Amino acid sequence: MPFPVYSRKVPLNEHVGPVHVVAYNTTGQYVLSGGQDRKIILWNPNSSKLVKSYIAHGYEVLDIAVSYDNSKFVSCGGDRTIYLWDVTSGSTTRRFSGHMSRVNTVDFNADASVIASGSYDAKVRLWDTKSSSQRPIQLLEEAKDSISTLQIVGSQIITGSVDGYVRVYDLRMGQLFEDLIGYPVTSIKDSTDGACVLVSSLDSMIRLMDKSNGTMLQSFKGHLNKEYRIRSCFGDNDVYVISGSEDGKVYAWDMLSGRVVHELKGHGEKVISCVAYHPKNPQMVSCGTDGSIQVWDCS
Amino acid sequence: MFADSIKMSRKRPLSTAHPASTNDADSIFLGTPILDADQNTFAPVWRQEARDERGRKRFHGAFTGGFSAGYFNTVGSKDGWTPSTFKSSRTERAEKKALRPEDFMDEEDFAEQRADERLVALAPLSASTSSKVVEAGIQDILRGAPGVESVGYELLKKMGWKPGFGIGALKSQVVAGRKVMMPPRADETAMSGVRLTRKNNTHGLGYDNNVPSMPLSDDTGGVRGAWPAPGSISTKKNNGIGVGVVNEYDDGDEEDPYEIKPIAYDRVLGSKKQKALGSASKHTFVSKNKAKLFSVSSNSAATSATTTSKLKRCHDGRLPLLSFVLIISGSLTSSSMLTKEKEYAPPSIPETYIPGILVMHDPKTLITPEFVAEFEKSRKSSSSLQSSSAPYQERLSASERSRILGSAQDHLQGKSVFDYMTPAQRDRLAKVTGNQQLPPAKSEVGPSSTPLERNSGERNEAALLELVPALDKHQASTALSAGFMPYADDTEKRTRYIIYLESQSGTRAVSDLLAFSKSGDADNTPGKLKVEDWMRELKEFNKAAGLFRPLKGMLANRFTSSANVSTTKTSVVEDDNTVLLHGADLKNGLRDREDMSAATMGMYGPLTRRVSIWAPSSLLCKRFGVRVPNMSAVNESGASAELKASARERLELLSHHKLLNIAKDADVSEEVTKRLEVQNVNAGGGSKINAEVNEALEQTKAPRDLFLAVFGDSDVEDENV
Repeated sequence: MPFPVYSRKVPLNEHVGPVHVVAYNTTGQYVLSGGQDRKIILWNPNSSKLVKSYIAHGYEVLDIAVSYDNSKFVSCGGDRTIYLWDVTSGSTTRRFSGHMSRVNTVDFNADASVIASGSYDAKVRLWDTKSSSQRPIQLLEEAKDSISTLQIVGSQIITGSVDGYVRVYDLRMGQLFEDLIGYPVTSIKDSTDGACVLVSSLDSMIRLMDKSNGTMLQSFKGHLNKEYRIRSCFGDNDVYVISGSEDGKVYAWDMLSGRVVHELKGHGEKVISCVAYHPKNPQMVSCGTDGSIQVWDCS
Repeated sequence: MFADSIKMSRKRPLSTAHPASTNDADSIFLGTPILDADQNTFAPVWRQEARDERGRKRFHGAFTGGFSAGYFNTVGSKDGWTPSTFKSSRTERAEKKALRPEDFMDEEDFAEQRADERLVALAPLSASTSSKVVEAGIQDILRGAPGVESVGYELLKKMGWKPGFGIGALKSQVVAGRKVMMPPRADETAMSGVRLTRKNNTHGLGYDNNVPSMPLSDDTGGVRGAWPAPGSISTKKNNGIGVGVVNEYDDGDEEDPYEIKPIAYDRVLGSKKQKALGSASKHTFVSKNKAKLFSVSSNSAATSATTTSKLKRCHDGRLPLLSFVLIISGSLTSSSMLTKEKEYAPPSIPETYIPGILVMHDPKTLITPEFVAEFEKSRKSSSSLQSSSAPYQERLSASERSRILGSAQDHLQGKSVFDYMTPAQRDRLAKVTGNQQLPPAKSEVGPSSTPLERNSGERNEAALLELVPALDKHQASTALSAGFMPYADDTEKRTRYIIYLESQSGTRAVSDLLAFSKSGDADNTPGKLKVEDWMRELKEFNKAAGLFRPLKGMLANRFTSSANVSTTKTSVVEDDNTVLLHGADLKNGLRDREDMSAATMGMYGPLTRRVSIWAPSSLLCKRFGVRVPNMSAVNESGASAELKASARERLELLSHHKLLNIAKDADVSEEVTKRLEVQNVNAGGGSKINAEVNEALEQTKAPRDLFLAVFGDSDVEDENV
């Protein structure tokens, strides 16, 4: 499939300040974005129209995850609390607090019964949405530094931490696999087949690591990533590897060869903190510290 | 004489300090001087504080210039004191309130009164039994161990007494028409005044209960004196009302009746003038009648004038000891105690008992008649009074005694210390003492047990090696591999420690240890130790090896050693000394570790991967729809545990079954239950659990016969139990 290269800026004036995260829902119909202005906005990428805004956070919104049925989503941020939202009503169903510093990343499990949250306090807390307990089901404390990113894939929890390790917690096997990347890990994305993991780190390199033995399958460089958390993702059914950059460009690599396929300018010279690819169509969304969100299409 | 030393005394206030004399420099003063007798208290008056037994201050309130002294001075109570109303009119006269002792005495006074009460035996016995009892009394006192004449008997006999006679001075009696000096008859014992009574209390002789402020005056030693002290009576409880306070100023001594004197150890009994009647306890009111009664004798018969003269004094003219009462024979001769007491028969003694034999003897020696005879012979020879004056050497020596007793003698057969000395030592001794008559020295070896000394002089290497404290091989090797070696400040000791560990773990010959033990007294090479020091050091190493072990597991994760940085291996679980990589390392660019270096080089793989056990909580597994992993199986280095497969399967099936049920009960969305069931199908290959049927509960009843056999009527009638 062709790569979406044509961008248009979404004329949303809702976000003031850097936008930290954009996320598609499971169908690709909507996009949720959250930023420094403590707002979460649900909007339609095709029509660029605002659907709903969710305002409850006390501090900036750092991550958003959507449940499998698109009925709820979870967000986290600087106020150390995790908010579980109901999409249609726009209200917070539940709040989970317990982290001691800002929560960098959240994710749902397959049936949205567990929320995993990773925080600057180096801990991952696993929360139970089904019970009304205030305490996490479990605490993952192996990391020695801030958890910058995590993802729940099947029965595995993959976390990336500033201490340079990618940790895969396998529930089924009862094992923890720690892979040393060597540099602070800022983004983790599991591949569709579950065999490898895309790891962004602060040495301006993205590595594709084999989950089974920890070897590096491919590395992607060319972008700039030394200071900020910049998210990367797969595109088009794992054909492409896409990442933002600190130089204002969106980079796309061919996954198999590792060559830079596209360098797409958008967002001025500002850091592009997050990119998200449409689940089915050739479309992607990027957001940056300049406060703008760009939708990329093929035409 | 101590004038100059007064300035060193803390007890005299500064105002009374004498000026320093001129020959200060010449004299050295040591110690604190003894204070004068009139300052015989430990604290000056201005420092003394009066407190009652609960520590509350006394003499407060009005005494110190304030107002009421209520409650602690027992005017009122905790709730306060309300003055009682007084109303008296011509028609209704006020009653005279009867005063009770409680109005005048407080708890302290009552306590003192109670302490002064004593039980006194009043009724004397009839005279008829007295003589027998006297004889029995004599026997009682003179009786020794059964079957053996007591020393008392022997002494009496030596002095000319014969059993059957009484005790006392010779009396002139008319026998066969002539006046003869005869000893008194047994029943007529002229122990006038000396009561053959037992002393049943725990006071000393001459103890007087009424001397104030003696530490013993609070004695609760059971029965107070068998006879009361003269003048001290309290037969009635309300005898002494506080009025007695008024009586008590003894000859002008301005004594404060409430004073609680500290213990003055230089007091002498009887320093206060003892009145015949009244020098009793302060608060007891003594009626004259009672006083007369008790001061003389408790027997009315004895108050006759004829006996008075005898009564008051002993036969040698002296007054009896304080608080002893003289009695004549025939009256209160028997002590009330003696006859009132039940006579208990002495314990029955086994036939083989021979009094006086030493308890500690070799139990192997049988006490045979021959043994006894010999023992008696030797005892007699030594115990007779003549032999006591014999020179010391003629008595039994220790070795003889040990021989008689049958104790083991093999080590002491007539050996003297000189046997073990060398001639040189003996000569030195002789020179020092000046006594040339010392026995000759034979340089023998003592029978001590250590093998070292057995081979005197020559150090037997094998014997030395025997003494090396053994250390478990595994322990030694782990101690060797510990990151930390003790004795950092003493490298020689450290090398010796390492050699010891190596010798114990098998990598080195044990004989290497001997390199550090001294051989021969004359060997003074530096670096070598004397044998004792060497032994001590080895024991120390033995203990240290137990202490300095490498850290394990979780603890190792907390600590990191500075110099030793071991590499992290790929394979499983607990390696000691795992050094952790943390952000600081990264920022500092710590690149000297294997995995870090591998990572920088881009060689990702086994070097950079670390697998460890992680136990998900059961709730988490349930939420994820995953079986709780069997941790023990995981432990075995990832290899599939064939042995535990069956157990694991069962566990899995069971937990899965539970999950299914729980899922169904909890109305979890269908998708989830479907997923669980799918997993069930995948997992539970073997035996399937049929949820509908529960065999345990649905069994048919056992046949009737079985029932009856177990529970039915039986001939035994414990059905109501």
